[in-house]
Amino acid sequence: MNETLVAVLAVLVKAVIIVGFPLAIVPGLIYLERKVCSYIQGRIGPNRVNLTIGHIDYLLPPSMRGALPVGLARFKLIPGSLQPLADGIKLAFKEEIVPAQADKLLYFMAPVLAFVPVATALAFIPFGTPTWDAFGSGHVINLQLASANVGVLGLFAIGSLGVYGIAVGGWGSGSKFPLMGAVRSAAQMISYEIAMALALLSAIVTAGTVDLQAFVLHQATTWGGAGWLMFKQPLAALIFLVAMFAENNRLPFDLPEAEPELVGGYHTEYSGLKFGIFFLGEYTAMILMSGLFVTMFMGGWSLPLLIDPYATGGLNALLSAGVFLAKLFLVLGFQIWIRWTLPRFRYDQLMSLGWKKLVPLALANLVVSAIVLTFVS
Amino acid sequence: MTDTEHDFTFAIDGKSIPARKGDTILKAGLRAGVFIPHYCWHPGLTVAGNCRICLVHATKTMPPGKPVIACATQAVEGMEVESDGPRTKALREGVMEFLLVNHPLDCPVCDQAGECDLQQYSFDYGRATSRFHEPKTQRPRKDLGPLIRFVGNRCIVCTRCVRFCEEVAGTGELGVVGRGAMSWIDTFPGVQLDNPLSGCVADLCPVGALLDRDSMHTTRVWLLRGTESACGRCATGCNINVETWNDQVRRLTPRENQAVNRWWMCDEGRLSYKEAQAPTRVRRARVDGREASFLDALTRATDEVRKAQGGVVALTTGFATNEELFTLKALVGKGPIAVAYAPDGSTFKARDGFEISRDKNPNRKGVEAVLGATDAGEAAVIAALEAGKVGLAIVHDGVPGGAPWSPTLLAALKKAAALLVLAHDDVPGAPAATVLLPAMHWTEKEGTVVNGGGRVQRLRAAVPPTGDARVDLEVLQELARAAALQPRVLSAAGVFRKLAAAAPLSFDGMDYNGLGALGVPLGEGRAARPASNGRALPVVDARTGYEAGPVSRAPGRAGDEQVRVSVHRESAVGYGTPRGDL
Amino acid sequence: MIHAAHDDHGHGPHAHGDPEPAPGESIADRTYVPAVLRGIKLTLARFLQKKFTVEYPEESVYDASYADRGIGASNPRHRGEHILVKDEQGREKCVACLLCMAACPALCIHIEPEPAPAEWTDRERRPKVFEIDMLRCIYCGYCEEACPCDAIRLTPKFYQPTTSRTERVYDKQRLLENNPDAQVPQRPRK
Repeated sequence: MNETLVAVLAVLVKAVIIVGFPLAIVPGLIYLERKVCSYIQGRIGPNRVNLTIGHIDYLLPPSMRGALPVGLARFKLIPGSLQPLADGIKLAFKEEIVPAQADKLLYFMAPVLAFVPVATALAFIPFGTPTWDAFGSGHVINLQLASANVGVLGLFAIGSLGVYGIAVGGWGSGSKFPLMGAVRSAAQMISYEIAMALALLSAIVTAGTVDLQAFVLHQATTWGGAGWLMFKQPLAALIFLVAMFAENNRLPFDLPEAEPELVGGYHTEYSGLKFGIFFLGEYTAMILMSGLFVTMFMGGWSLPLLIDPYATGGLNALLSAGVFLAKLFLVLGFQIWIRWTLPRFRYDQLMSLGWKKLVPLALANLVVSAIVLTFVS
Repeated sequence: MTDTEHDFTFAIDGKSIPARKGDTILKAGLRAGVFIPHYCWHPGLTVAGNCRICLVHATKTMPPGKPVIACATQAVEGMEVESDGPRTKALREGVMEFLLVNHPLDCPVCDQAGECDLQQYSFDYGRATSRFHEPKTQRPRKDLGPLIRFVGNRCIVCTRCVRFCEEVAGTGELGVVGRGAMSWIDTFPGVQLDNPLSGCVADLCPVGALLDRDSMHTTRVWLLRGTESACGRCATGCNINVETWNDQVRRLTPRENQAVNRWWMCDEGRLSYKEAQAPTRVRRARVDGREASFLDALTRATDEVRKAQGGVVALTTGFATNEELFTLKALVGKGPIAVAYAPDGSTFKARDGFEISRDKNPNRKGVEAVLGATDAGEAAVIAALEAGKVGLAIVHDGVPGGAPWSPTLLAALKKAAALLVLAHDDVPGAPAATVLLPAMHWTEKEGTVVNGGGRVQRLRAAVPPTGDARVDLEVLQELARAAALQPRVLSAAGVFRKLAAAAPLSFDGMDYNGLGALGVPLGEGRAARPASNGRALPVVDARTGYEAGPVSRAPGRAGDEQVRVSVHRESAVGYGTPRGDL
Repeated sequence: MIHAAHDDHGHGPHAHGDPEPAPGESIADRTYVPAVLRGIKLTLARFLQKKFTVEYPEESVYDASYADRGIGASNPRHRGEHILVKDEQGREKCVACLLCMAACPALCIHIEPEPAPAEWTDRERRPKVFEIDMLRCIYCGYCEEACPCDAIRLTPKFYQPTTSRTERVYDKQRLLENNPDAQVPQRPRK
């Protein structure tokens, strides 16, 4: 088969996967969020909108319907699993209310701005081995959509545009609470991006590359496959983790939408599907940041003893993608867990933590790393 | 009572009480605002002194230290009465215990419950438990007359009813039969309690022994909401409470007004609220004989007024309020107005001066005061109709059962280009209307009437108009507005203000709210005006509605407050009202 | 430290100064890390513990082990729907005294009294209309308490779904025939 054709085809397939991925797992993530939340609070959580075995009836030809025993047909696959679908339908049918004072263009653009850059930045995350020999055809495919050698920078450059969605949404709503939410959000993201970038620099210095696939390979090949940067650079990993929460506007740093103070924050004036897209963008950003953390600090798709980073086999590639997914959900789960554990910071505490603790710490970490690496190696 | 009006003072519980010579302790005390419980005593009746609940300790009595009944003991100068102390409390407790020996305590099914003196005093002065375990006596339960049921077991033989029939009604149907615990009230053989004032004995009865058969077992007194109004049944204009529940009049009870009805009202008036619920009542508007919405009918009527271009004549009755008459007068301009009066009915003169008027028109005096002489009105109306100059004839017939229009007038009405009838009842012989609108009953009306004694009194709306009816006064004013005679529709108070200004001789200086609950005589508006700026509201102790029984409305206790504001004791203190005002 | 008091609250003129450590607070505590770890340990324990939620319509709320505490719908002491009690002759015991109506804090009872038929020698009045708006009722039991004739009672019946609001207004007939045993059975609690 033509080499170029295969490459184009591979890119198209990967693009579909990358765009489809957040759309596919965000409902699951919402479900996970609600379940974890309720379990932590001693409740059961959504369990009324169920996918049951009986639903298979709808797929069967009419003559075979109702053949399942009632007990079996009523068996719930995952209790409440269709709740996110119900939520989505609800959002879709909500009345779209546009405030009279809104700047219409900005107001309609904001949700898109909040979602598209974040989804685009996902292209830089490697989700599997770089050397998959596609179905033994001899075509080697890198399981990463945009294999740029400035991956980290590209990801940051595009991903950071997400804040415009929030800022524009707050401004365009023509209402004071969204504006305050947006201002807070912008200030918070800029502040924590510095600490985050400094932490990343330490990681970059350690790995000696800005290519994300190379990052994974570095971690998979040093220290016997366990050279994950969270072990090599624990402080940087911690700072990145903390900054990640702030970047995603998640508790304990969800000040842009602090309900008691700001009603709904930047999306106060949004309803229906526009709100839904904000929602989607927020969870996609969570996936992006978790993916980045997995890639940079947790060895990405690699796992010692299970995955050979240079193998070309299909099983190996599949396993690597699975490992990546598992690690991703681990981090996502951790984010959710933290959200329902910690209370919200006060704004001055947030700024104080960002500028006075994380930035100097990250800076010191970077200097120490640089010195150590220069003199040790 | 000002200081100059009393002859001497004595003291009740240390409070100095001014009294006139001959005053009893109870009377002087009540007048000064010191409440002493009483069952058998009533200001309109002679003193019987048989219930003993008003027992007090007093100095200057013979023999010294013996408790005396406050209702029959004359106060003397320097007397010191103990009405609120442990000794009197023990006396009253003892009296209550005796009164309750044979009382069935069936308050839950007794219609008096909630306005029962026995219940109230039992709560105030009685023992919590009974020491008697003997069977209670059984006394008869029977209908004494068409309006009164007697429940013997509840009777405490205070003889208020007996004295009323003897001293006020003068018919003397009732007497006490039996002896001791087995004595009760009954009619003399072959006699029924059917005098024209018989309903008053149910009001007088301090317990549930005499009940009004009309309203019996249909409601509970704590649900009733009273509206201070005047009876619109005859020219006496008794002051009454229109008591309602669920927007329906449930009963009428008299209100004390010494200048009009003292404490009484007649049976005819008492039952007159039923006219408002008569099946013949006009409930829907009609245009050209077909049912129409009220708005359509009113629009048609206003169109006719505009078309008539001043060629308007009016027919009204002695039942219309002064405000309605005034508006009608403005509406016809120089045109003629005919007035129909209800024929004379039965009269009755009580021994104490209370009289049921022969004149059954509640507002004949008002018609004279507002419209002037109207004797020639009917002839003028007929003449105008015969001449064919009438564009619109307005018939304001708010008389239950229909006003007695003369046949010649009815025949002449057919010549009017358009005929607007405001009718209370749909009866044979009523004018055939172009536009028929429902008129209000007097329990639904707001306005003033002048009784036979020339007293301007207020009717107050106690219930909303029946069916589609709207306020008559507003309908007439809508017509006046359509004819560009007045810019907007006013309330009854607003029309009365205009009336008072337009009729200086009779309504001079009168203020609608200043008429108060008791009314003001014609021509005395300026004299009756309160000396103050009229804004200050007398503060009275507001209790919960459930307590507003006969004790609080008992004779001697009811003040003549013109406006009553219910404010909770604590709130009033919060508003800065001095405690002494409560 | 004069300004220490302000710093604890983080506002005032010295809000941006680092707060003094509270007594007994180590450097590790000040990084928040131990506190966060304690927090996530606690939430993890909560996550794993048994849930108390009762899936009500399918599961019975009644738990025998709580019977003495008076909770649970099958508990005979539960205050649920009313019944009007009948006497030996099958007539309502109610004499329309309206005391329940007066006692009701939710104003959900509406009674219109009428004189009893002449052949009923034991009473003079009876209810012509007796309606309870079960949607308004707060099941406080004051009506039961106020009734001098033991004519109204609250039963443990509480499973009461309807498809319209008007059905929740019970008239006299329905109250007389209300059967506390006609409750939809539920499976016992897991």
